[in-house]
Amino acid sequence: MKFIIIFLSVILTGILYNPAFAHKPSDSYLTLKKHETDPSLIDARWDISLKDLNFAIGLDDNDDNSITWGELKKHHSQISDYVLSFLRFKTENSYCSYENVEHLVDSHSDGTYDVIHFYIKCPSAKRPVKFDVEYNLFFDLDSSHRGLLNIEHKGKTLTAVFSPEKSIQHLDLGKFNPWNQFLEFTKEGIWHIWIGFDHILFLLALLLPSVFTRTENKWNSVNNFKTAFWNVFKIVTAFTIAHSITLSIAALEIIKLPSRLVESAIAASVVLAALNNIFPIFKKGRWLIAFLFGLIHGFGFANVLMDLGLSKETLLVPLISFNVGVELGQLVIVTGFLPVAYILRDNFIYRKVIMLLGSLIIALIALLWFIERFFNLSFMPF
Amino acid sequence: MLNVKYILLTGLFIFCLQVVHAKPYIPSDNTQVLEKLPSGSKNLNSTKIRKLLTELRSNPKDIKETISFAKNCIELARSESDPRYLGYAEAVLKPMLKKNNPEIFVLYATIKQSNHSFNEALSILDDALKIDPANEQAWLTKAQILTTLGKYPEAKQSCLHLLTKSNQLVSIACISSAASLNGSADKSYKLLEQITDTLKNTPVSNNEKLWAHVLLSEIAARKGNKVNAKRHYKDALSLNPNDNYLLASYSDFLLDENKPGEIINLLKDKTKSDSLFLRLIIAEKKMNIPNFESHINELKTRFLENSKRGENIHEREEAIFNLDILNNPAVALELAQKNWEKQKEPIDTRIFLRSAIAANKKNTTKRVIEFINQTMIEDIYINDLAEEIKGISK
Repeated sequence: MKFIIIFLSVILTGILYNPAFAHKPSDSYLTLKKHETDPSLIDARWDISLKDLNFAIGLDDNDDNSITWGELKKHHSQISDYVLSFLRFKTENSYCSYENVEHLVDSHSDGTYDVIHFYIKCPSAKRPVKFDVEYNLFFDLDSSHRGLLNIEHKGKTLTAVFSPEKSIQHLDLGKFNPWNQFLEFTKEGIWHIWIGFDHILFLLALLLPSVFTRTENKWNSVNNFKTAFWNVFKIVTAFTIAHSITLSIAALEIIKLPSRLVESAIAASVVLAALNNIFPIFKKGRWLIAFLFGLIHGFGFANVLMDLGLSKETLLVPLISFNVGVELGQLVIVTGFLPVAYILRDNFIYRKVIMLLGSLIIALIALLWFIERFFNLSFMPF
Repeated sequence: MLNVKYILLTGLFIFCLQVVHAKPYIPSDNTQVLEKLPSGSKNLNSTKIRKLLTELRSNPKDIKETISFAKNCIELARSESDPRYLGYAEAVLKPMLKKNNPEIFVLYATIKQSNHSFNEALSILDDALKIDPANEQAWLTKAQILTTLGKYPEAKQSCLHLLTKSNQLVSIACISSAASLNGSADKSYKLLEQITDTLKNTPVSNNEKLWAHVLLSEIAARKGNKVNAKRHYKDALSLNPNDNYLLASYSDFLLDENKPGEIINLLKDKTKSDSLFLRLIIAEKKMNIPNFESHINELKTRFLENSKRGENIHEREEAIFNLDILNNPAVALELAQKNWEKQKEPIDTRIFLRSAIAANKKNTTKRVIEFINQTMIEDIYINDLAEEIKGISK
C-alpha cells in the first residue's frame, strides 16, 4: 500500500518526498507523564539514537555499516541495562526503580532512535511531586550529548536539559499553574480572530444576509428580531462546531495539511461566501456553508496553535482554551453586528451598498488573498 | 470526469499522508535496516572509530592514542559533516587537558571553534603557545578565529608566525584571508594567486589548495569579479566536490548570480547539513519547486530541535531562514544582531544589514556601519547596503 502511494505521489506531484535526515549533535529525549491508571507510577519514554548506542556498546554486529532490526533486537536487554544505569530518580533520599521495560523504534530528524518505554516506581505510595533526576548517559563518551527532559503535567510541559556540566535537575511539579496557561491561550484565540481578517470577513459575508429571508428571488427583510437572531445563531454555531472538529483533528496530528493549501482554501471560501450574497446559489441553509467551510478554517487555526510550539501530548488545555478565545472573539463581532444590521435592514444603504457592494469588496479582497497564497506571492498589505 | 475527480482526491489524500506524524512502532522484519552508519572511507569509518575507542579504553592515559583518536574523529566529523564525532573527540580530550600537552590543547580548541565557543578556543590556544611558541597549527587556528571575529590586525599578526615555518601557501593564505577584508583585497588576491600558480604542481595537500581557491573565489566575488570567482570555484570543486564550506560559499555566489537551478543541482543530495539545506530551500523557493514547503517544515523542526539543546550556534542560518524564506524581517534582525555579537564574517554583516533594511530599523546598524568603515571591507554587496542605509538616514 505504502509503495503504491509513494509511486502515485511521484506521478502526481512530480517529486518524491524524501525525508531529509539531518546531521546534528547527539540528543536523547526523555518524556515523563503520569501513568494512566496506577497513581504510584510515572510513565517514561526515552528516545536514544541508534548511532549513539552503536558507538557506546556496538550494535552493528556484522560490521556492514547498517543496523537492522534483528541486530537491535539482540541487544535490547544490554541496552536497557546500560542506559538505565545512567539515569536515577530520587525522592526524599530514596531511589526509584524501573518496571515493564519495552523497546520500540521511532525516527527523529537525524535518524532512527530506540524508544525505551518503562514505568518509574518510587518508594512512596503516591506519585512524587518533588524529585531529583540524575542523568549521565554518554557524557563519558560524547561531551556534546544532551539529555532533553520533557515532563507533561496538568496539560503543561516542563523542560530541562542535562549536560555534562549540569547532570542533576531538581524538579518540583507543585509550582505549575494550569489556569495561567488557560488564560494565555484564550487570549491567543481572541487575538487570532481579531487579526485574522480572513475569518472576520468570512463570518461577515455569511452574516450580512441574516436579516433577510430569500423569497421569490428577492431579499425580504425579516419580520422580527427573533428570526434574525436564529439565523445568526445557526451560522455561528455551525461554524464553531466545524472548526472545532478540524482544529482538534489537526492539532492532534491525525490529519495534517500543508499550510499553503489550507490558507488558499480559506481565501477561496471567503470568495464563495461573499459571491453567494450577490448571486445566491445556497438560498437557504447558509449554516451548511458555514459548517463546510468552517472545517477548512479549523485547519488554519491549528497551524497557528502549532506555531506556538506545542506537542500533541500536551494539547488538551491549549486546544480548549484557544477555542474558547476564538468563540469570544466571534461573539464580540456578532453582538456588534446584529443590532445594527437589524435596525438598518430596510434601508437602501444596507441593502445595496453594504450588502451587495460590501460582498463584492470582500470577494475581491479574498480573491487577491487566494492568488497571493496559492502562487506564493506577497503583495497584500494584510 | 470520474477519473479526474478520483485523481484529485487521491492527490489530496497523498498530500495528507506525506505529513502525518510517525508513531513509535515495532518493525516486523528482522532484516529491515533502521540506520545507516557513516561509511566514511576504507581507512576511516564508524567501525574504525569504535575500534580505536576500544583500544583507547584499555589505555586511557596514553597521550598518543588520545590524539590519534581525536584526530580521526575530527576528520570524520568534517568529511561526513557530522558533529557527533566532535563530541566523541571532546570527551577523550577533556580529561587529558591537565597533561599540558600543546597538541591536545590545539585539538580541543578546534572543537571549541566548531561549536562557536571562540573565546574559550582562543584562551586554550594561548595556553598551547605558552608551552610551544612554534606550534604552527595553534597560530593558524588562532588567526582563523580572529578573522571570524573581525579582528583583522591581530589575525595578520598571528599569521606572521607562520611565514618562517610553514609552507608558503598556508602562510600567504592565512594573511590574505584577513588582509582581503581589511582594505587590501586586490593585493591579497594577486599575492595568493601567484603563490597558488607557482605551487600548482608541488606536493601541497589538496585541502590547502582547496582553501586557497575558495579564498580567491570569495575575494573576487566580493570585488564583483565574477569571472575569476567562478574560475576558482571550479578549481576548488575539482579538488573536492563534497567540501561543505566550499559548497556553501559557491551556493551563495550562485544565489547572487541568480542561478537557483545550479544550486539545486549542486545541493539536492546534501540535505544533511543545515547550512546547505537552507541554501537548497532558498533556491527551491526561487524556482517555486513543488513541495518545497515540506523542506521548510523539515528545517523548522531541525532549528527547533537544536534550540531545545539550549545552544544557539545556528543564529546566522536562522536569520537567513527568517528573512528569505519566512518573510519575517523582525525576527531575522533579532537573530542577526545576536549572531553578529559572536561572529563578523562578511555573511554575518550582510544578513544584519539586509534584515535591518527589511525591518525598517536602520538605527540598529550604527556599530555595523562603524565596523565596515573601520575595517575598510571591500564587498560590493555590503558596501551597497551600507550606502543604502546611509542614504535613508540622511
